[in-house]
Amino acid sequence: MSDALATWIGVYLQVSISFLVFWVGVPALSQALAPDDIRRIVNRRRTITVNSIIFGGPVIYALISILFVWIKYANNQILDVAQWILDVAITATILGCSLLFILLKAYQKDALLARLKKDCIRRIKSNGYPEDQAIEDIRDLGEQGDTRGEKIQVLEIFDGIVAKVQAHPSYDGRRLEKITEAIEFALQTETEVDSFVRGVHILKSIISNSQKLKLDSADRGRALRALQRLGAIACVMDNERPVRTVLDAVEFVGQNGTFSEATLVAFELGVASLKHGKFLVAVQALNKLETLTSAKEPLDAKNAAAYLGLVAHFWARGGSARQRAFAGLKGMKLKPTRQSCLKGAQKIHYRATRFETADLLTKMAVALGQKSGETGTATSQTA
Amino acid sequence: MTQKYRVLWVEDGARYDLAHLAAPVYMDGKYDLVIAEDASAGMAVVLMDRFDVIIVDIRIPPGDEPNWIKLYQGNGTEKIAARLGLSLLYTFLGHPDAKIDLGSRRPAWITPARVGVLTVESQLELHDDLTKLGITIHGHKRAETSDEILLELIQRVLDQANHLSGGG
Repeated sequence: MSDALATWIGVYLQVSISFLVFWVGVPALSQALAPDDIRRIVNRRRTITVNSIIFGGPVIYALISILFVWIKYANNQILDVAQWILDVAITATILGCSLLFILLKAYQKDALLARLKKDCIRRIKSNGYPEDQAIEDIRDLGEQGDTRGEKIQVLEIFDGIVAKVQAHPSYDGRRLEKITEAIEFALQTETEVDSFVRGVHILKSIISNSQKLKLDSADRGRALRALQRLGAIACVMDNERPVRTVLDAVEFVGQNGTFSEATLVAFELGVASLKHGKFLVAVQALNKLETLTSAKEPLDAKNAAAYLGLVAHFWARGGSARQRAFAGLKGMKLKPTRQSCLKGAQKIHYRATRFETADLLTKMAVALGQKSGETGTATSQTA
Repeated sequence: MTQKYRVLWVEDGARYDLAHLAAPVYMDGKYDLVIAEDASAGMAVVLMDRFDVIIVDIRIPPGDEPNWIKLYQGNGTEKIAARLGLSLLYTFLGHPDAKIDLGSRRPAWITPARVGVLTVESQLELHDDLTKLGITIHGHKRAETSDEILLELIQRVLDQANHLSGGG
């Protein structure tokens, strides 16, 4: 083997190994610098890092090979080794830095979210709904978001996705399970009032859009149940705005259908607020229930169950709470009698394992029965 | 105590979003309700135990069994498109169209009469598949679904199975 050929092989190997080290090392470095949550999602999606290594490496390797073969055989020149090493090192540095910059940008939360959103929208355009995994990734970024801005950003993305899905001609009212779940999870650990309220508004928009489209949809029921669970969380927050936002959403829903689910949400919120001594919210819930149920008068046990259940909790507190609840109950038309409705409501709560409410209804029915002689007529405010 | 009927409910929301549907079943006291939250768990459970009633949701996740994951990924990686609940039913019932065949491991006690579906898809949408499988009992999850829907479905399946077996 001639000296020139040996030199050529040496340089060739040196340069190609340098390139490969760059190509593997730079993504590894950018991974190491990325926060845990983002690294996990990028790895799970296997898009940026893996593709750059799998496709980028061989392409660069092939380019170097072609270049060296061309220099060696086509031009028939002997390499000026020092010059070539310098040229290649400069090129490798430029390429490596560019790649590092691109990858670091990809590992930024903003860029990752933008990419996920783009993926979702592209998928919605073709299928009518986003990919489950993309929604989970956005949800994870929202759950681990440290700042208020990050949470809001994630919720805004969800808002946009919900709007696109519901605006798609193929929307059938059954495509937002994953996203409803994701919004709920994002809000479960939320302590910021603005983010919480924003999330509740998205759930409300899912419900209202389903109603506008006249869809008796599973999405609507799911969003309502999410509101119910979030309402319980909102009840223990210091600020009362979140729980009152949930209540507002419920009244809007109840007036536009889904009566029993909406009344159940108001019932749960009322009970939780009473327990936490948030009387203003509790009375607001009772008020909403009175509004919702009075539209169905005369009420049978099924339609009155949530309302009577909350009244029983107010009754159990005695004093002013009892007085307020009875002020409403006095004017409510129940069929066939108030006693039968109380018994029916007790049965409904018992079947749903709401034992405390069922027991209070039993006690209230007995107390009211004794007072009124089981006539089924309205009792006095101080009963 | 009278022996309870064994019921399997394959539903990913059974322990969370739809937990309230299980309350009347527990309160009734006649049923031993077993929950499987994905296709893999559903299949594992029927291979180990015998049930009087099986209620299956159509949109379920694959779980951790490679064959179900493969099927899920081959159908767009979405519960909506993959409809793994239907695939699970084809497998349970040993239908020739089953994408996952249990072969001799398929429990012979699983008959169409013991199976019901509870799902967001309407009966009309599932008509062809349910007809092929011989399943007649269907519950529809809507915006407002009664808390008693699962219990009612179980009772209907049980009545049907008893009627067909001459159990009354």
